Amino acid sequence: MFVAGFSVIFSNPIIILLIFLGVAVGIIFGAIPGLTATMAVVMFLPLTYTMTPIMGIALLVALYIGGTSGGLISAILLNIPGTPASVATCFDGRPMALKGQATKALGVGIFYSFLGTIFGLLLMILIAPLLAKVAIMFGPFEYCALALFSLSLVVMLTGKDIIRGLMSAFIGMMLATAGLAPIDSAKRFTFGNAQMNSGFQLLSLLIGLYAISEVLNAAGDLDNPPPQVYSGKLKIKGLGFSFKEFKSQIGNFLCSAIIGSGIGILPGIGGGTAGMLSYTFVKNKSKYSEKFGTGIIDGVVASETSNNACIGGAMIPLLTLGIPGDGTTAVLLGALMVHNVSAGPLIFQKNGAVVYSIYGTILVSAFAMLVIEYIGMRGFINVLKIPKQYLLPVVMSLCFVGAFGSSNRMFDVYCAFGFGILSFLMRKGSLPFPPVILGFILGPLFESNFRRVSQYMEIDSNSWESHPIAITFLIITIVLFTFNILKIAKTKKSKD
Amino acid sequence: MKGKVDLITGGAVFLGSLFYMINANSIKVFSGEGATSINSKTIPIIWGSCLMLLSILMISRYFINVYRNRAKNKESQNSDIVIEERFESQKTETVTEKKENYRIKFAVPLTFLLLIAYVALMKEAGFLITTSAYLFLQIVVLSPRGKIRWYSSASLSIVASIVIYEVFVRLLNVPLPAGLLTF
Repeated sequence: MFVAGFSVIFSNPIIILLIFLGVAVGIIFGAIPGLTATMAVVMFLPLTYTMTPIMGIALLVALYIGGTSGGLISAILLNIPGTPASVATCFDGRPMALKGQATKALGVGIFYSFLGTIFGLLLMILIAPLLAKVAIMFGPFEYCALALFSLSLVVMLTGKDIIRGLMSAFIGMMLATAGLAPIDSAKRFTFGNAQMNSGFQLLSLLIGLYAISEVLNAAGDLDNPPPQVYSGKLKIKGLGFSFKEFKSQIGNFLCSAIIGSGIGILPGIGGGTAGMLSYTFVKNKSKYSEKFGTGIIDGVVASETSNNACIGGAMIPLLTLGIPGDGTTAVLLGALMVHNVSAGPLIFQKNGAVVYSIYGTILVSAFAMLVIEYIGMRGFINVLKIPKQYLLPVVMSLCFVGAFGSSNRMFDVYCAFGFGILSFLMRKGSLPFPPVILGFILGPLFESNFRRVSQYMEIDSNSWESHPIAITFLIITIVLFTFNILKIAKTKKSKD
Repeated sequence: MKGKVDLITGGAVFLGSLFYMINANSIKVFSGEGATSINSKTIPIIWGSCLMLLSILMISRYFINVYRNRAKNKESQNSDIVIEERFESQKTETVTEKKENYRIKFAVPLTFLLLIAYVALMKEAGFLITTSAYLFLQIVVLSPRGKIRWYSSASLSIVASIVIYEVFVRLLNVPLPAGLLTF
């Protein structure tokens, strides 16, 4: 069945063509701020109704992979992450572009996106059932501890000023409390507006924080424009980086790929958190952590490897348990149902050919992404040649279209603008943006699971004891949090 | 002003968290079967309190720094005197230069106004009209000193809005607001 699934993909040129088309469209969706991989999959879903299940699912998976990888282009070139998954790519990708190394940053990002996807695929093929079992072991206690652990990493993301970093994270968590509460659906901060019941969208927040602030920055810098990123002739040598650099990143790649896949198999967290967690982990263990954020390839490798490794991870609970890991896999689950493929423990017996064709699709999509992005790199870099006064307003307009298109309502556009004002005020107060995103994603995860834990504890107050994974996470959280605070305090003292 | 960033940020965040906490207190809590002590109000109150605490810490840090700097300044008060001289160039500005100076000086508030107008009018006037107008005006506002290209800005604005509209409405079935141009 394994061979049959792969041979269906490789023997049919139309499917290969569809995959290449899907990846190309996905990259465009990922690269344009405001448009996401989820949106691409949703928009192309009706087109697959008339296709065979393997063809339709191949197209959607290709869109997913292209969309996830495409986000790095705008993150590096415009400092506006195309998707939530590429937020961490901005940290070092943009400084590299500002140093005149945009080609290198893109080359590294593309190559490690490819490697990350392949790593996730290998995990899927080799140990999917085992990983699915691990995913099942994660209940409210474990999720609650994991969310706390991830939130504690905010301290590492913030750099020198812990107060500012924590403030940003709490602002993100507070924004996420608007709408209906988890468990009992109590209305919170809706101010009588029915549109507020569903709360704020991550996409609106991303547009407001990154895209609008970039336009406002450009307006503020008119008299002192930043140095031009693109200058002279474009030189692309090989993959954009040397073999020596590749060798130096092996450890970084493995750590990031494991973190990305690990986060991927846990439903509800997603590539955005995976990228930021890998970045902070790699930064923390690095011998030259002070160089992170100044434009080194390590940061781009960490972010891009993990957000793409997340794809394979997210597909594991989707296929083996029928649990979607994020928004895009939720739509993919719907697509599987439309094509009469029931995801769950029996999928290998009932629809083995489809599962293995998905593996084949991921493999072809990864190569398609590598080829298309490397060929298109020259074109992407040319974006930098477009004067900012023309580029940014068009990007802004596309962002608003994206915000509108996510749920077809003007409310999300208003929210994006509101978050734009927030970003302006935060920039004035030197409050960092990444912790807001992390808080916004992890806040609801923590709350819903914390409330479930409280219900368990109501019945048995000692139920914590039977959750060793959660206890381990809590201990690691306390140790890491204390260690980092002491480290920052020590650095500050030595500077004084 | 720069030294007061902590004070202003702390103060603004404190007021924001106070507003949040007041609203969090008015959340209606479920008290039926299965209700626990951790309810829909608990987490917002925890987040709000933490943020308030952090804002107080930031304000305190400002005052501690002021106190420290004052002590330092006292030590070095008589060490040296810096004389600042300001040379102001008396340059006569032409009307065009004056307009350009205003545009550049007010680029940020103008961008804000453009974004407000764009978002507020999009539903009523429609995507095509508002986007064309926004793109044109925003390009003008963001253009560097003396580099405004009126015709190319206008044509790019119109072409870009039409292309975006056509791609999203016709190709991707996103029902962007048609507004006044209902076709």
